[in-house]
Amino acid sequence: MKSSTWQRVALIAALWTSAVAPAQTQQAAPKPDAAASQVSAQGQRIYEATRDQLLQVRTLLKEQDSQASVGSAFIVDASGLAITNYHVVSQYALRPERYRLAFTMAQGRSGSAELLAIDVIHDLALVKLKAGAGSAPIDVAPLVFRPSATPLAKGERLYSLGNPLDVGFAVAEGIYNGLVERSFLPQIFFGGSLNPGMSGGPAVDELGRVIGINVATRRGGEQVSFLVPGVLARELLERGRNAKPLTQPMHDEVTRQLKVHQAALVDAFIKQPWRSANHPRYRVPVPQETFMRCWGSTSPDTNKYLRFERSDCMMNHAVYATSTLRAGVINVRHESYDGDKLGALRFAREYSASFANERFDDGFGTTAPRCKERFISGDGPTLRTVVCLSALKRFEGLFNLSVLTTTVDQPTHGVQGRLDAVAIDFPNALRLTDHYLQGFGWNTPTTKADPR
Amino acid sequence: MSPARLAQVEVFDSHGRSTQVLDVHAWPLTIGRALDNDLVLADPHVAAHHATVAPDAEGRLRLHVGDSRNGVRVEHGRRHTTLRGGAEGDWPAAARARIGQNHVALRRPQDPLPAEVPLAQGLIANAPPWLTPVLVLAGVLWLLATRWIGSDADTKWVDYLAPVLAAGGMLFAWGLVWGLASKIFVGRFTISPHVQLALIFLLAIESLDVALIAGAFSFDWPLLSHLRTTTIVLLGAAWLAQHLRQIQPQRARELGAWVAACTVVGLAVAMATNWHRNDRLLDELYAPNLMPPSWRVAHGAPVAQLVDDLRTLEEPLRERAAKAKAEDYEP
Repeated sequence: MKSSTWQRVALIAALWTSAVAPAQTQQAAPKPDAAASQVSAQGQRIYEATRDQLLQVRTLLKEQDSQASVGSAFIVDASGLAITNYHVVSQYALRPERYRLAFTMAQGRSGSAELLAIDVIHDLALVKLKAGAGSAPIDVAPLVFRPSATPLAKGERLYSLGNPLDVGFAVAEGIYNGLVERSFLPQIFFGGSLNPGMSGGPAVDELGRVIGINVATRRGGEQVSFLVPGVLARELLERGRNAKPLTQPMHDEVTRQLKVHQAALVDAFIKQPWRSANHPRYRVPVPQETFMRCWGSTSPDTNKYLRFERSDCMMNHAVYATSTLRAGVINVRHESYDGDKLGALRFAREYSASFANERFDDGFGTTAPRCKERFISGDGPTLRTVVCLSALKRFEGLFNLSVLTTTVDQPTHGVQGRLDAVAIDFPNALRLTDHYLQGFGWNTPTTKADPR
Repeated sequence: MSPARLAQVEVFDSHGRSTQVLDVHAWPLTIGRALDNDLVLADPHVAAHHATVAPDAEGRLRLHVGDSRNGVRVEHGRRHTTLRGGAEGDWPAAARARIGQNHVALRRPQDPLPAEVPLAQGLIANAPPWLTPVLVLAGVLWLLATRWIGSDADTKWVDYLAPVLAAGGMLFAWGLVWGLASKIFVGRFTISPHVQLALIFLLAIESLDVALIAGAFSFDWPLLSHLRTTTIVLLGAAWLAQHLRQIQPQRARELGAWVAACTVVGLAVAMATNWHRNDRLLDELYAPNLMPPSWRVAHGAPVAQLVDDLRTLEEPLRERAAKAKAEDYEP
């Protein structure tokens, strides 16, 4: 819904004050100081300068006006081309026979949109705006991208624009915090609030030049949000500027892009040497934290007899392929068990319960998993290993991999590990399996080797 | 001196209970509702002079039906012959004549005598007297062992009592239910054979389950683990058949065949459902149970061999995905 000018000003002021001064208690309204009024005026100026290029993109059911999804976008070319997120238009991209795209501009104009190009990996899409019947064509000066030669410095202000929660067009001020560390894909860390509905909207500098595109926010965090770097949108614009509108389901193109991405991801992952988990007996593979984060935990103190330590290494960012598929992810975890006080039989029961307590694909979006299992041994301890694969139903040639493995050479101690990879091709599934299992070994040469 | 007994007639009601036993000292034998018959059947579905039985010149028993609306149905094994009013037919040895709501059996001294039927049937037919205490002891020990394995090191001895008492109660209740069934069908209230059967099969199921788990791990034969549910179902069916044999000994084969058929159909339906949902016949995805290291017999293979095994999965997975795509699943 559009809001009046005064309502917009009040909203911007409210957003700004809540972002900057969240801890202030209720008291008589203080007189705004010069710095505060200068910043709120800046936000207002930014909004006024970019309002004409802002729009809301909606995915509607083809035969009705009910919206299936809503996001934001901005004009990047005077011929009526706009950039938004891929996830805003993914339902249309994959099911064009069921959905249609519509837009509404902040200045009030509306019409339909066509999809020209997508960048699934970076979550971008290029659309062409078509004015309503009888209306003049869309002819609006585009927003410009900030040149790469003049990057922002950490701490500089950014202004994120969009239509949060379908409430109305708004601007949210935040801080540029550089690129997210330990991410495989480039993302800007935006210290500001992004709400659903703002996806696809621009984040601009104080001169109104596009720095990035709103894409995500961290739930459970405060003002931890993410932008796609503007340079990637510029590249998509150049690639797709003259493309014909896409009218067929785009599974093949999404598959192609995912395959390229997973090839680079798996190559990068395998190139890195494993770290050691510092286990006294085994060499347990733990990934480098180049583009993953590892978290540790231990068993509760109430578990007197079976103690374990757990390590979870996860990639924080996945590629949005569909609402149920987050692709291009590799996760590795392991648990180290100590059941000295239990004895062999009791430990075997607990150890088995943990080995059994694993979830696999349930067949929605993928085929049912198929597994191979056996004892494997080489230079390291003998492992009981289960490898399960399932094929993605709509993305031909991509598979989900799960490797579950456990040591079986000690009666009251053991390590269980698991590697998962989502949406990789079959040769890479085999490479990852081999790479992961070869990462297990003995910790020291003097450790008693398992004869079998 | 009493006249020689030429035959004995026994009348059974619709529940199979004997209601009359009559010695035949002279032929013909008359059967009907009227009081001047040799065998009086007080059944409104029986005519006044319903039937007459007498041997012919060759000594074969012949049945002549009188003026009857309902006639007589002669049942000999699976062969049934209906004789209308005025008709005549053979009454073979061991056959029963259905007259009204009564089943009439007639046997003569020269008819072959079936063997004595033991009171308990089947698996426990000749059970020695020490079987029950031995089974109870084995069951208690098994229960204590499994409880011990499933508990923490500081579990107190009183914590073992509850499951043993609960199991004992359930076993008694199980025997009670089947004992009541025995009373209904064979007129005898017996708990002991059913408790024996329960203990035998429970111990068999438990020990076979452990053997399958251990075998799967020890020899690297995961199929043994996958077959656990099927094995339990088959043993359970055999268990049920044995119970039914106690309460319906004369129909043991027929009931056993029904149980077997239902089990096979049930397993087939389960497997078909599993195949449709999960692309496999059995519901276990992998063998999850791990045993102490000393139980392992199988050797490990190189990683390369496992990777080679995985290659065989590619084609079936692709085909399955292509089939799902053709069925137009949602992404």
